[in-house]
Amino acid sequence: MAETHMYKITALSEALSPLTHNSGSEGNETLINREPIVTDRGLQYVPVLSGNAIRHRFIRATGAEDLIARYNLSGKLTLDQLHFLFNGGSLTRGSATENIARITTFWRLFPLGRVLGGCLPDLIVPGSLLSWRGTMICRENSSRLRRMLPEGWMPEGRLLSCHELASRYQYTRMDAARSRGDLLADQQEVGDSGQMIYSGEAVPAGTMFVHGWVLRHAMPRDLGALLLALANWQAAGGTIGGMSSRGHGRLLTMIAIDPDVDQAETIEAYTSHADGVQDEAIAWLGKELGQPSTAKSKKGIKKEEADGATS
Amino acid sequence: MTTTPEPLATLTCEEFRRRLAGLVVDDDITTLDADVLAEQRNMAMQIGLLLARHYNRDMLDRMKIWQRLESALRVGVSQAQGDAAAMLSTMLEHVKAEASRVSGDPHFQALLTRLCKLSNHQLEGLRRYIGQTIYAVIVFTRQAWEQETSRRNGPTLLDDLDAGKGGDE
Repeated sequence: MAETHMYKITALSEALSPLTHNSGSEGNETLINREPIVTDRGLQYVPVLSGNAIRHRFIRATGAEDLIARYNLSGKLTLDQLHFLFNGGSLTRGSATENIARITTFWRLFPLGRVLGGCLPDLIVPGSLLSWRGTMICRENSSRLRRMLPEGWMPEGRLLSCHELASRYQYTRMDAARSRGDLLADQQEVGDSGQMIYSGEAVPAGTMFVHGWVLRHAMPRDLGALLLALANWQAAGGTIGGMSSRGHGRLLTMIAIDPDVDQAETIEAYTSHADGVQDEAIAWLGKELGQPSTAKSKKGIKKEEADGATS
Repeated sequence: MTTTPEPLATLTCEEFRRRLAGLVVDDDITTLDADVLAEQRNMAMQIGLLLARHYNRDMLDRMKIWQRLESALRVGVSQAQGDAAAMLSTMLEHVKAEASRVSGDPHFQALLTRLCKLSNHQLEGLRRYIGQTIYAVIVFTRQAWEQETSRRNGPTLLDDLDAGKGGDE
């Protein structure tokens, strides 16, 4: 059996645009995600990036996109395969089983699956990744950060408070009937204005978060799968949270890996492995999660029949 | 065939500390937050009192003084970032203060000197405080103003504030 290691990746993410990683809303106002933490001044509510969002946006979604492009699976996936690749799948059969052989086959064919784990219809497959939450670099978190980071990393001095690191945004959803009502065939159709102002809290650009991952009992190719997903995420704009379509949520991320590795080499180890097992991996997806049906669905056939009857 | 993007940039201790430089406060504030807040409230109230004194009652409606002060504070903190003198000037302009009266006002000179000594971080804190507590600032100002107008014959509240006595809080 190949030798495995534990890799600890510490990341620093700087917001390049306002972050709106939200946890809810009050009316038209969105509220950013905060967590209560105990400080020397009592309980404080500090903005945080959830480990769930980091895990999904940084790794699983971009890793799945890469596999689909690599194996030319676009337009060829079943719904179960799609859910499995992008969301980890779900246990849908009544009785779950334990099957070490199936698990190790999955791990071998999908290093990203070994990293993240997943859920086949009748089998839960564990992953080896521990994802940290994004800890905001602010005064309230400074003592925690000192304990999280290697000795000597945290600078001396007083950090800005998270309450100073807060901003807002406001947008207007325009009403086309008001601005270009002259284009309507029937001017009388224009009713009450549909214009709406919506606003909320945001974490301002320039704010930074410390986060990271611990990859346990992993092979270099597993680390490579993780690093490739991170590189693809960054290359695609590196966003987290909502409203990325309006320029929010862009991050610039740097990482320190312990033990130090050559990122390009581990990524190469992963890509060459993934390319080498391509046929086997595609066959495994079909076997475990169903083959795409080539027959037309009943609904599609009925629609075609109906179309034929009316033509 | 997919292309492999550049790996993420490598983080080192030096790079980490360099990037955090902007988040470390560059002044020597060592007071507790409660003290900082009390100081900000005091300065905000002094600004409000100054505006009330220089509110041009000939040009503007006397009945709308507090409404006008609220918009003066709002405009001042939103338009003049990082410059105390510009912030005060914007506010005074909004209440149509007369330059001749302002130039001879020792309280204005004292307040301007005090605000100009603030570090960028302290001024930003004051700006944020006023912006976020504008109605409270108006209430404090109005209380102080009524107190001042009831003491017309003796030393005014602004005299007390200039002398560091802090009013009747």
